[in-house]
Amino acid sequence: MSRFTNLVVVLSLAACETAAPTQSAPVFPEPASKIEATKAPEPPAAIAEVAPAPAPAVAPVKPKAVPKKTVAPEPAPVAIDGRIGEGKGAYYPPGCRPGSRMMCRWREDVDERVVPRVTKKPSPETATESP
Amino acid sequence: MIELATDVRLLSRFVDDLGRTAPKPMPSRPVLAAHATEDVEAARFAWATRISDEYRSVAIFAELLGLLSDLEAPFPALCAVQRLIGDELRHTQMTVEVVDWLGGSSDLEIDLRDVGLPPRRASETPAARALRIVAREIVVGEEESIFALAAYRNATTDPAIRGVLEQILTDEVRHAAAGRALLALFDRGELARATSELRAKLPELMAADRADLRAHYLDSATGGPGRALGACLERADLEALWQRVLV
Repeated sequence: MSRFTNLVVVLSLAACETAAPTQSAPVFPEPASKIEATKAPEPPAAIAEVAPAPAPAVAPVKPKAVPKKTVAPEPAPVAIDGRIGEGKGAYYPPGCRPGSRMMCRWREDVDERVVPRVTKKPSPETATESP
Repeated sequence: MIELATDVRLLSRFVDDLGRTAPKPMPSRPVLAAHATEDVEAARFAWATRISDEYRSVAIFAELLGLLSDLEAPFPALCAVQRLIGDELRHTQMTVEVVDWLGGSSDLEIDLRDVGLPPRRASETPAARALRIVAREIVVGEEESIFALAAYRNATTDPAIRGVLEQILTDEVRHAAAGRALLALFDRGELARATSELRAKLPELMAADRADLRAHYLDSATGGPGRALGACLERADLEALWQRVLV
């Protein structure tokens, strides 16, 4: 098939796709009540009202110390008025540290890529200030 | 940061398709006049971090789908994982919308690059990597996030934000259940043989991960502004849920 023929076929398919009516809504998902009824044998328990019942009784422990980085750290991100670098590196506004596992790594893999993911952009004034 | 909008009509239809898999429609924008500026600002940051959370799951579950495909995992397992990826993409979209409700992200840098797990080591087989992701990220990670989400949902009084948390929670429960089913795949056949060494130490590993996650969640529950908008918890909020389940 020539390149031209290929192009014609692709364009025709694209035209068909564009013109095709919108698909009807899929059956998914089941209502919450049904989900609960069809859970796997050992699922996390209650869904909406209560929390699940799976977890073995694990006493909370202190987070492990993050191993020393083996590479030079990135320049510190711009702090607003909160704290940076606490916990696993996330930025948290003052007095609020949203429970998030965004910075969690498998403990054996904590590495230099654990960096704050949400930071404040420098304000235009700060950015244009001379050193 | 992720760009939600597209000029390409064909691609936007896939976005619409994804939206139709939601358990419920997205709630309407909250009335922020009822909340103090400090609360709204705290919530804006909290929800911005959730964008990264959800996107991280997209990256990790996508890696899992690749591994399971290569391992010729059963078709239903592949279907389950592709649905998980879609759900996490939808959650990413939802959390971006919530940040927009709360003032937007134009002054924030939200770095979503390279957010997945560190690369697989040469010594780790594809089957072992897949098992680690299933056990640690889906079974333990999603189960523990159910507790955290339920605590945030219970603490949130704003109806719109509560509705968003409720929807994510519903999906996460399903994910945790799917994790248990996926984990069982490694109990038999070639996958069992290929992961026997890891499976022997998996219970200990999973318990340690669970303890780590709980410690992290507990450590972050320091109270503060934004509680009504899903931003903050007290330790008691989590402890009450954990206690309730253990009794």
